[in-house]
Amino acid sequence: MIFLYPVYFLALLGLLPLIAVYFLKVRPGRKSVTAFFLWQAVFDQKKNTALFNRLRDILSLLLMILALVAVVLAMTAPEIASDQRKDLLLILDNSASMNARDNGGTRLAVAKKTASDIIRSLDANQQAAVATVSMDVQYQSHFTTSPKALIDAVRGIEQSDCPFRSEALDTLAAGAISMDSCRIILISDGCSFNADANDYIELVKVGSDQGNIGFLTCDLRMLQSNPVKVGIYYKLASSFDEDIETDIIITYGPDNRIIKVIPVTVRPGINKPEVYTIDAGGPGQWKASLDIQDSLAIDNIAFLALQPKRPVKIRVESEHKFFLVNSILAFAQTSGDLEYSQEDADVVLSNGLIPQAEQSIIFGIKESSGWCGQVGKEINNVIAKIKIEDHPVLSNCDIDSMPFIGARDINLPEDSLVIVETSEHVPLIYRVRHGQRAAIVINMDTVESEFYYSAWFPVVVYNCARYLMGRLDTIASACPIGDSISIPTAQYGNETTAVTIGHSNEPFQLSGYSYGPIRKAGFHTLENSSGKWSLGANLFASTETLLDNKDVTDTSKALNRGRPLPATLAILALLLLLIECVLYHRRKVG
Amino acid sequence: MLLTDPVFIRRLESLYLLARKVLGGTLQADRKSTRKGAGISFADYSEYSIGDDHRAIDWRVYARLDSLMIKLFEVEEDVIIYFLLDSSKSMDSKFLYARQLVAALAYIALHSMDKVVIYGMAEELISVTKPTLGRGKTLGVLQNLEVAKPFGVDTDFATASRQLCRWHKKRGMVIAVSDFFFPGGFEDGLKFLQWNNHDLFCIQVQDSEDRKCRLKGDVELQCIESGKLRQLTITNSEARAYEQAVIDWNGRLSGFCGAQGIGLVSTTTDVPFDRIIQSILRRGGLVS
Repeated sequence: MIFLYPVYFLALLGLLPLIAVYFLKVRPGRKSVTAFFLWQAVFDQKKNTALFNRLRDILSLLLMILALVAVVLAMTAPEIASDQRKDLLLILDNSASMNARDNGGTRLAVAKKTASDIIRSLDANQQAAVATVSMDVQYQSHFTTSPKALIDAVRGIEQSDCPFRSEALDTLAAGAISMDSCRIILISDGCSFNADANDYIELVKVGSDQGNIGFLTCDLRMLQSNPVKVGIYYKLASSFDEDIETDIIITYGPDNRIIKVIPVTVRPGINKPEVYTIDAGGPGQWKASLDIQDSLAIDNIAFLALQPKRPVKIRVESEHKFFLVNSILAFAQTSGDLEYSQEDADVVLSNGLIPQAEQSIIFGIKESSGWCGQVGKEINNVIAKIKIEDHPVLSNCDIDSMPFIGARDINLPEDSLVIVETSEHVPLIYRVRHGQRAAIVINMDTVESEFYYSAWFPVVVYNCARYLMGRLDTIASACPIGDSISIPTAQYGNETTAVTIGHSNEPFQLSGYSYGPIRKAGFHTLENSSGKWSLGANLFASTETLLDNKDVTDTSKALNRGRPLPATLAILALLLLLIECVLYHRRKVG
Repeated sequence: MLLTDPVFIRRLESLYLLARKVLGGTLQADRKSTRKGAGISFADYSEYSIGDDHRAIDWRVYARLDSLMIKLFEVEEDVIIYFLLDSSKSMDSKFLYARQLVAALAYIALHSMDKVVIYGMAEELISVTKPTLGRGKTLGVLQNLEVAKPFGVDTDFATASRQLCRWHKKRGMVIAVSDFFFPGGFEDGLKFLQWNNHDLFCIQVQDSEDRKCRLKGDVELQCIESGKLRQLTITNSEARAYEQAVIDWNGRLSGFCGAQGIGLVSTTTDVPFDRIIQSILRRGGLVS
C-alpha cells in the first residue's frame, strides 16, 4: 500500500479535540415533573438498555474516530503498492468460447463486469482504451480519461461467432514497445491464448473448466455412385471427462424437416471422424444438431448447404462435330459438369466458324471477326509460352505437348487477355470480351494438328467452358468461420454479388471474387449473374469447443478494481457519520 | 385573576344562583345526610327494638302487619365543610385553578349557611381559613385564599387526614382538591376520613403537562417536590409508557372512589372552573 499524499496524515491530529469534546460531560436539559414516581415504571423498563446507554457515548466516540480516520485515509489517496498508474488498453476477448455459460452467466458478461470494475478504479489522470479481439483486434473506444465513454464502450461489446486468433494480438506487439507507459490487459478465458508469445500482455482470466460438446468439422455431399443418396461426414469433440451419449438430428429444408437421427457416443477429447449415408434429401440447406444442453450452443449446430449440380450446357457449331461433341460427353457422363445441348446452351463450341453466342470457345479461327481483328497468314515453328501461369484455362494441361499447328498471325482486339503466346507475341490462347459477350480463342487448326486425338482436347474444352461460366470454383457445403471463399463469377472485373446472411431481408452488395473472412455462423446466400449458392458457416474450432483453460494462469499484475479506495473510504466515513447522526437524533429528539 | 376581583365574585354569585335553582328551595341547613335520626323527612322503616322512641312506632303498619315498625327520618343538620387544598409544589401550575374551585364551593357553602374550614395540605395541614360561618365572612375567606401560597415539599395525604381528624372531632364533609399524585397513595387517607364518618368528595385537578409527555430526547428529570434527579432518553415508547402510567393512576383513583362511594370529579386546568362547579351542581351536589 502506498499513499500519494501522506502529508494528510497530519489531519489525524484532529482526533485530539474530537476525543476531548466527547469526554466533556454534557448534561442534558433538566425538566421538572410533577409525577416523578410514575416515571419509575419507565425507569424499570429502561434497565434492559442501561448497558447500551452507558456505552452509547463510547460508541459515538468510536464512530467519529473511525469516520475521521476514513476521511484522512481517503485524503492520502492510498493505492495497492505495485499497481503502476499507467494507461490501460483493455482488450476483451469476445470470441465464440466467451459465450459459454459459466456459473450462471456467460464468460463475456464476466469479462465486461471485470473491465467495468477496472475502469471504475481509474484515477482522473489515467487514460484507457477498450478493444475486442477474436479473429482480429477491433478498437471500441479511443484512449480517454472518461470512465463513462469507456463503460459505454464495454457495454456495447457484442458476442462474436469467430474463434480466437492469438496472432491477432501480434499487431499490438510493435505498439507495445512504444507504449511504455501503457499496460495491455487481455480479459479472456485464455483458450488459444499464447502467453509466452505475448508476454507484454497481462491476461486476466475469466471462466472455469466447463463441459461441452461440438462439431469440429462437418460436410455433406451427394454420392457419386448414387446421386439420390447423401453422405455426411462429421467430427466431434468433447470436454467432458466421461463418454456422453447423444443424438445428431439431421434436418433438411427451411421447415427443418427431420431426415435422420444418428445416435452417437462422444468420447472425451477429439473424436474420430464418422461418415454416414442418408437416403433422402437433396440440394438445399441442411442442419446437423447435437441434441444436448451444454456450455456452448454455437458449436452444437452444423449449417450445411448442398450445392445443386449445374452443368454447363454447350452447343457445337462446326462442320465436323464428332470430336467436339464427344469432348463434351466425356464430362457429361462422368462428373456431370458439362452437358451437350443444341438448344438453350450457355456456351457455343465452334471450330472454324464465328459464333454469335454470349460465351464461345473458338478453335481454328481463319477469318477476321470481332474476336480476332486482322487474321494473317499461318505461322510455323510455333513455340508456346505461357503468359499467365496457373490460369484456369490451362488447368491440368501440358502446354508443351499441345501442337499449335495451323496457328495464324492475329491482331488482338481490344480488351483481350493473352494466356499463351508465341515468342513473337502471337496470341495462341486468349480471352476476348465485348460487353456481356466473351470468348476463348484457341489459335490452331485442330484437324491439321490432330489435336482431336490429344488427351488435352476435352480438358481444354472443359476448362474453357467452366471458366467462361464462372464455374471453376465449387463451394463446399460448410466452411469454418474466418475462412474466405472464392465467389463463382462469369463477368470478371465488374461482377457484383448480393450476399444474404441468415434470414436477413437486406442483402449487401459485394464486389470482387472473394467473400470473407466469414464472421457469422449460419447460412450465407450468394447471388450473382452466375447463379445462386448457399454456404454454411460454422465455428469448427477445437480450442473454442473444448473450452480448455485449465492450464491457463492469470498473469495480470496488481490491478485496482472496483470503486477507487479513496471513494470507498469516503463512503465509509459518510456511513459512520450517518450512524452517529441517528444516535445523536435519538439522544436529542428521541 | 384575583379571587377578590368583582368579576370573579360575580361569577361565584352566578354559581350560587344556579345552586339554588338546581338543588331547589332554601339551602339553609338542608345538607342531606346518610345518617338516620330525628328529622322531618321520611327515610325508611326499621323493626322496633327495645330503647327505640315509642313515638316513632307506625301504628298503621302494626294494625296491618301485627308487628312493631318504627319510622326513620333523615337527619338534617348543619355540616362543616372541610376543604383540603393541596398546596404542595406539584400544584404550582394548578394552584390558582384549585383555589378558584375552593372559592366557588366555599362561596356557595357560606351562602347556604354551612360552616367552612379551609386547610392547605402538604406534609402537614396549615390553616388557610379558620371555621367560618355566614355570608358576611365570604370576602374574608376569599382574601385568605388569595394570599395562600404553596408550601412544603411533598404531599402526605394520610398524615394530613389524621391531622384533620385529630383537630376536628365533628364529622362533616371533606372536599379534597388535589392532583392526587401522592407517591404514598391516596387510599389510606381517604379510608381514614371515611372511617371518621366524614362525607368525602374529591376534585382531581391536573394540567395537560401531567397527562401528556411532551419531553423528547435526553433529559434529566427532576421531581418537583422531592428534587430527585434521573437521566433518561425519552423516545415515543417511553412517552407512551408514562402516559399509560398516568391513565392507570387516574383509573385507580376513579375505581377506588367508585367502590367507596366517594364523589369524584376529575378535570384539567384547560376547563373553566365554573363549568366544573356547574357540572357538580347539575349532578345533584357533592354526592357520590
